[in-house]
Amino acid sequence: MRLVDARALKSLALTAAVVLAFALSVLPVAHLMATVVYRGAAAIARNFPSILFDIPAAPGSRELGGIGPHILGTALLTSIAFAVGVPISLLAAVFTAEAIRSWERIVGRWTRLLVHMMVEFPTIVIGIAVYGAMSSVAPLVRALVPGFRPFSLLSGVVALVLVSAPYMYLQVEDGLKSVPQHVREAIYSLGASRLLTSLVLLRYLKSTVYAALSVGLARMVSETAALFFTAFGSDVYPPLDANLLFRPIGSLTLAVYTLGLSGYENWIELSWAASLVLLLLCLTLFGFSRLLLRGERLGYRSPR
Amino acid sequence: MGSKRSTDFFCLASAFNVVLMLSVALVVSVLVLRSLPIIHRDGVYPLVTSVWNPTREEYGFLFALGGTLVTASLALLISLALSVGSAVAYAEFIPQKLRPAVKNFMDLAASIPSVVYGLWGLRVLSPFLRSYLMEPLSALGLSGVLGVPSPAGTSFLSASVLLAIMVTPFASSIIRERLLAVPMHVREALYSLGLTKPEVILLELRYIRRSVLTAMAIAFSRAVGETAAVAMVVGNTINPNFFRVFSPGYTISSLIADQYPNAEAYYYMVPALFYAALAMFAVGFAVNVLLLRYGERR
Repeated sequence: MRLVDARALKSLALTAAVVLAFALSVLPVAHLMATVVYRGAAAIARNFPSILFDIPAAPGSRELGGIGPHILGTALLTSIAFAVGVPISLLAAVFTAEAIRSWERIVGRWTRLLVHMMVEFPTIVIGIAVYGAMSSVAPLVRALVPGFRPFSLLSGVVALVLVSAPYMYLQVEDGLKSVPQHVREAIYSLGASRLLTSLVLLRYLKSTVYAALSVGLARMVSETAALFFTAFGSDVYPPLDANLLFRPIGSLTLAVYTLGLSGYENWIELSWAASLVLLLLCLTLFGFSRLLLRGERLGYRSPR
Repeated sequence: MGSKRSTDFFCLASAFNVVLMLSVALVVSVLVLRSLPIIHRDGVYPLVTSVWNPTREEYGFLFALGGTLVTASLALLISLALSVGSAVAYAEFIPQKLRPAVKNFMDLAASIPSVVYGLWGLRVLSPFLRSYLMEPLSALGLSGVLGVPSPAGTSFLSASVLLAIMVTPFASSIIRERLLAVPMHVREALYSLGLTKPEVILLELRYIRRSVLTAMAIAFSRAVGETAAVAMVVGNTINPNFFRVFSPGYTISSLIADQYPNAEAYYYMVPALFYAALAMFAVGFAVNVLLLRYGERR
């Protein structure tokens, strides 16, 4: 009888430990979301709607100002990086998955291996490498663009492409690999060229592709470390002229970082506001990709 | 399917593969090339000394390397308990109806920007840990061993706890999937021996231990490279006693993030930061190679 009691006690203790671990892994994140929503909404409500357009007020003043330049910066950085990164990752994925000849297969295999490596690169490493490359070519670029500095929108875009393209590439490539062979052969049997076949396959995998793209976009929006050395950050609006690409620019993530670490109450409030905007953006993209993947499960799988 | 056909338009797509491959090569080669000046000058000296004195152009970043290893290891220990525990809770105790919600919540947690974790860590977690963990333990006389907490609570410990919270959703999702995939006949065989539920769970965990190791290794390499969140809570102070976890310090990633604005003002600071990045890269890379060798096949 005592033996059974000891086992029952042990059982109870382990159950309690497991439930505690579960609570400890969920509650902090829940607290984080609640805090960001609460403090971010308070800050935004205090200066709505001009908080979305103004520049930050002087540090330590009673005014709040806004995060306008950072919203603009994130919009510019991500839209340009998305426009550059999507074709690269989609076409590279198509080529890897549809390679037939031996040289094509070799190229595909190496791309896959190297991109697998790059996915695990710390993003600060990518950022500092882009900075290194940009500062090496800066003297040459200055011949064309006198004001060029490695800290610029252009560097930020390059860094964001390098951070997110591997994700999009791997997801789309995995999707293409999972297409049943008979579907591919059916398309070829209609006399389609390989290029056309790839495009049809991408349409066939529509939901996977869109989900991959929204994950890629979310990574661009939420990236901080790769932008330290590249976009550099700025609290004012850049002049909208031909040199826009070659000047430093702010982003929401850089705003959360610098304003949050500043130690001035009004700037910390702005940092919470920027966090809330970021959280909402990520939540939207996350929900979007979930909806798409739910559709996919019912969609393209062959009945076999 | 046209293996004899001449080059078609499709082959042009290979250009984008080349772009991706070249960018990987670019990242690695820039890291090596840009750190060569300081490697030439100092060799391995920066890796084994803790003197960071830009005005005299002395850059030893052992304090940051140690800080990285200490925070990542401590985060790994905390996260091991949390992620295994929550995966088991998910597989055994959470009712079927609640599972999709829990799963979505965990996946969402993994997609929150790290800088948002950083802000919360700085403003909420660090003061909390200071008041309820570090100060009581220091009062018991442990500050001699574990260090003196800073006023804001920023410390190696805060960084570790924050990292653990950040990597747990991801690590837990891997373990959870494998735990649910333990074959039914294995589970039934264990129960048929008359074992209690916890005893079965422990044996199941042994059954999937390779997956647990894999999840932990990936978590470790992410913890090593994580920047924005760590740089906000680790305190950013040069602290050679990186094993005093209550005290503030630096990790390599936070050193780079904190020093970049003034790096160009010094002659050797940029190469030194590249060297530090290279060292961090090497640690992460070693973990990934070990993973490829000993981890589960995916």
